[in-house]
Amino acid sequence: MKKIINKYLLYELVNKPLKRLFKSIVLVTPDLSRVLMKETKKEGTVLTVSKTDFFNTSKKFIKYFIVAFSFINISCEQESLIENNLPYEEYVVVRAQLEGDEVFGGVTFTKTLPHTQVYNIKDAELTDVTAYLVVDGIRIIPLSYTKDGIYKPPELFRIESGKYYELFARWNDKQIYAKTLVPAEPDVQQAYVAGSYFTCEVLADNKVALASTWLIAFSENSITAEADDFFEVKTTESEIPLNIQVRTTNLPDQYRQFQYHDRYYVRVYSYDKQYKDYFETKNGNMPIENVFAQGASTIKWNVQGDKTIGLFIGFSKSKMIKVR
Amino acid sequence: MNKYCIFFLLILSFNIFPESLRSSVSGLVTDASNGEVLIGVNVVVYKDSIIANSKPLKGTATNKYGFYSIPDLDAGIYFIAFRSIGYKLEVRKVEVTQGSNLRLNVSLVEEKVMLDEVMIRGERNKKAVISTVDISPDIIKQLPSLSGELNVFKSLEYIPGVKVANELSNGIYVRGGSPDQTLTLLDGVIVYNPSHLGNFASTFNSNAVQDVRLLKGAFPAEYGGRLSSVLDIKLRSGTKQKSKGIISLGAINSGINLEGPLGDKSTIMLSGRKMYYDYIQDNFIKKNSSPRYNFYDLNAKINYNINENSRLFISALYGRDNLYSPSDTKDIDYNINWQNSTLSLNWLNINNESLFSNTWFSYIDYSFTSILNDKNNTSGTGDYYSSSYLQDFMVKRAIEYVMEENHTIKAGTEVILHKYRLLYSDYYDPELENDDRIGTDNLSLETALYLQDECEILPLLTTNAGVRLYFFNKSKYFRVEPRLSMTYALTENFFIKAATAVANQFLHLIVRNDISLPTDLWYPSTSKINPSKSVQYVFGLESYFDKQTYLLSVEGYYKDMQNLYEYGNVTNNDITIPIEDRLTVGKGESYGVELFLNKRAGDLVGWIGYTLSWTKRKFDELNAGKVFYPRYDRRHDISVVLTYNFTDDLSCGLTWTYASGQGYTVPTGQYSFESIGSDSKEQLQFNNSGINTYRLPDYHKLDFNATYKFNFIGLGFESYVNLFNLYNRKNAFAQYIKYDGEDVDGKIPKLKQLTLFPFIPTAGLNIKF
Repeated sequence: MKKIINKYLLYELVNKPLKRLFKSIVLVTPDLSRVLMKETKKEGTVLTVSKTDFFNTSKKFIKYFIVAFSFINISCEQESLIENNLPYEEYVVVRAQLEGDEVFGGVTFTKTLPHTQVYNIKDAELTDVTAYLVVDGIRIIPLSYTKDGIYKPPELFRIESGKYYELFARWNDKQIYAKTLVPAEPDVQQAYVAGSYFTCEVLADNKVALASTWLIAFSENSITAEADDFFEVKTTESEIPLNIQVRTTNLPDQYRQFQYHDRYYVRVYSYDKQYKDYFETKNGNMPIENVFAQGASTIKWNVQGDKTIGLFIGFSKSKMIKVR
Repeated sequence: MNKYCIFFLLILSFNIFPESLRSSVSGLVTDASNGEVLIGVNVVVYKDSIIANSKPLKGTATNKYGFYSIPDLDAGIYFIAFRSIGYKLEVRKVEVTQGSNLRLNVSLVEEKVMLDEVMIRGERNKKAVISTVDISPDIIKQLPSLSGELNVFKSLEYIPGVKVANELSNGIYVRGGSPDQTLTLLDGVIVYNPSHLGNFASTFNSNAVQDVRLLKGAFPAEYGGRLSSVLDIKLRSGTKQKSKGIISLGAINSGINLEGPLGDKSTIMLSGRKMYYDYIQDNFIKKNSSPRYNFYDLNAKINYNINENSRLFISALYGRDNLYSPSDTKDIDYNINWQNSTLSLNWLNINNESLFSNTWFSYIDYSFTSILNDKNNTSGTGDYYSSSYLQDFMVKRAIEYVMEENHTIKAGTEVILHKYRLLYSDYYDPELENDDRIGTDNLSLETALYLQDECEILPLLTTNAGVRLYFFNKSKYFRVEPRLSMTYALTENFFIKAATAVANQFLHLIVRNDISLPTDLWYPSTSKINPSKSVQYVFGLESYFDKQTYLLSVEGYYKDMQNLYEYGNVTNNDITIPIEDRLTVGKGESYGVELFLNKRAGDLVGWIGYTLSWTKRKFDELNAGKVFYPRYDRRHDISVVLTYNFTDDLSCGLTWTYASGQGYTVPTGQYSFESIGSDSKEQLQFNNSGINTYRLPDYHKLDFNATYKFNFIGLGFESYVNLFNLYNRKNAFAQYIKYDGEDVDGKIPKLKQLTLFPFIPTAGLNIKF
């Protein structure tokens, strides 16, 4: 049985296809065809082929071989549309920034939506959250829904620097909590040019995180350009205020000649220390359209609660400070 | 430092053991046709005469260098039989005088036999060896391979306990350890990146592989410097007979091997190889958006027989890999390349007291560069550049002394000087590569010393006990690593095995977890970065049945790992942030059970393997401090490997693999959030609930290979056909959300899946001359 199988396999699956392959090569390779025709005539006797003939034949054989088998290797990766079987988990998203000595802008409560749905604020907003603020553990300010998931106090009220603010909220039996300090206006000692960016020296303690931006402006009310992000967020572990250096992003090329020397300013931001974690991870949840990437990092939020994410953060900013 | 140098010199010089009045016979066993040393040859000693079926006086087997030693013989006449599968039995009569150390080098003549016992050698049964798999090149040759050549790494993937991260990852993940935790030794020299991308091929000349041994865990004291496992590969050194060569022509890669004698005492082996898959992609399948890839490598090995007691080997390896994006890529432009070079001098010597010693002087040069350019800032990767360049200068000496028939002592030392240069940044500028002021430079010295005792302490109980001492001069880390393994023979064919080992690793491979492209950075231990440590426990049962045709083994393992390092949860790759500040420390554990049924003899040879395993990691800074499963953690893993020889000329191989889907980080929802800071932009973001919490669909595929040998125009030809992913299973490489257009409300997200390797037939030809 084994012999029959072997014979069949050898003849049908190997010899026949090989003969067919050689025949097809004969059609396209004149030199090789001569060699093979000789072999056919001589019925398996040993051939004597000159070196030149051999190399010419071999070269062409190799060439056709590579081309032939390159074609059968042509197969590519496949991108296919699939059913949405990714898991969906509903999270509450909270957002609020409390700026010292400014009117409170409200807290936004929304929820996450499934990935394959077109995002719409009407589907995402939460309209039935019970929420209130507590100032320094004493004063309670109720919040109520206004529009687009934004909750505001019944009356305008101003955020006070140096005070702690707590957020208490409840939605669908979910408890939500966050606490932040609204720091005092940053105490900027000096600001100077350091190559292509500005550096500020700021007196600060371990409760705050500092950041700065450059500005090109005629005056406080007439700003030509401002940095669209912080370069860094600095903190200190010292309880006693220390001088901390914090730099801006690089100035755009057109402003690096310093021909507008009287229009260069910096502004320093003083955040609750928790902001540093958010700043360093804030790009972690960006949409990923590249197949080689996947979101491995997550944003560090400060809002607490079961399946709740968000940032509730206090800050103050300095006035515009002219750069020396 | 000085005391360690003295220690090292001591080891180099201690080659005198107390002389005994009793005698010994030792030597090397080689293949008569090509002069290669033979591993695992059974050497059996009979007193005065050989009588069929009589019990021999003593017995041993050659080690991985072909060396054997039979100590403790009285003066007299002995018959020594040398027996190995595929070779004629060789019997030598020797007269041993009192106190003599007889040198008997033997060459065995090849004999055609059916493929037999290809998987695991018999001599191993008695030894206290656990979690060790020897794979014969004969079986690797018959396994399907996309590149068409003998593929060591692909064959290892079929072994229980061995996994890969994805189809583009290189290296192997053994029992929950990442690729850097596997020590790869090529002829005793460390290779940092031993395989080409996706394990398509190994970086060394696979046609020259003589022996492949994988120690999956709890390895003995002679190995060290890595946490999880050891891959010990030995290459042939070239034929002594006549010059010959092989030209390999494949659809995606081709190569040439040349070997032959170099005078009376030397042999040489040279090989080169080039993969041109990118050329085919660019010319025939331009629309293909998969990565463009090519590599080339060169290998050389010279063997010089100084005398009957000494051999000198000089080997060199150079390889370069290039992975880059297609020119019309829309999302991310990447250019990743890595380069391996080693130069090694190995002196093998047997002294008058039958003390076997091996000395290496090696130079290793390895570099890895990644450049990622996020074209439209939607890939989530950001711009990134990293460069890791390391040079090692290594001196290593190992000695082996057979004290009694079942008592061998091994000792050795290693001194490695590591020189590193590392750089990473959130942008790429060619100036960065040449600017000495940027980057981190490190110089560190790693010194190791080991002592290992293999003996039969009771008639049925053999042990391998050892200790390895480490000193790493950065922050003066000193570590002691005890190792112990035991084998108890319940019957002649049934063994209980157990082992434990402590291992430390001073070099850390840091990779980005948010991207599937390779971004390797090797970083040494410093005052801030502690050495990684693992403690392993293995317990196993091993049984042979049906005249040892079949082997069934069951092994359970547990491994605890401390001081593992990953990139922290910071998305900023700014050049000014020291790399140590970007790393975060954590721990891990892995445990599982492996089943292995191996048919070792007959026309049909192969195995079925099953692994049930868990691999976990815990980092305070990652995944909100919760335990997560790394990407390569797969709960179930099944592999079936079968090879069949129809005739001497026709053979085929078939493999089927199944694995639970790999871990994948996918968002669990989307939300809109106005950034807080000076960049108050409203952005759509995805909420990632946890690292690798989602599983891609299960992975499975069937591969087939047929090889046919024939003669044509006076030359030997070997043609092969590979059918990769025979039933065209669309295995998911990635699932992701892509926006296909816009409706009135905004972009329409669609869920898509990418399959990298559908059904791929390849063919090739080897021409022997």
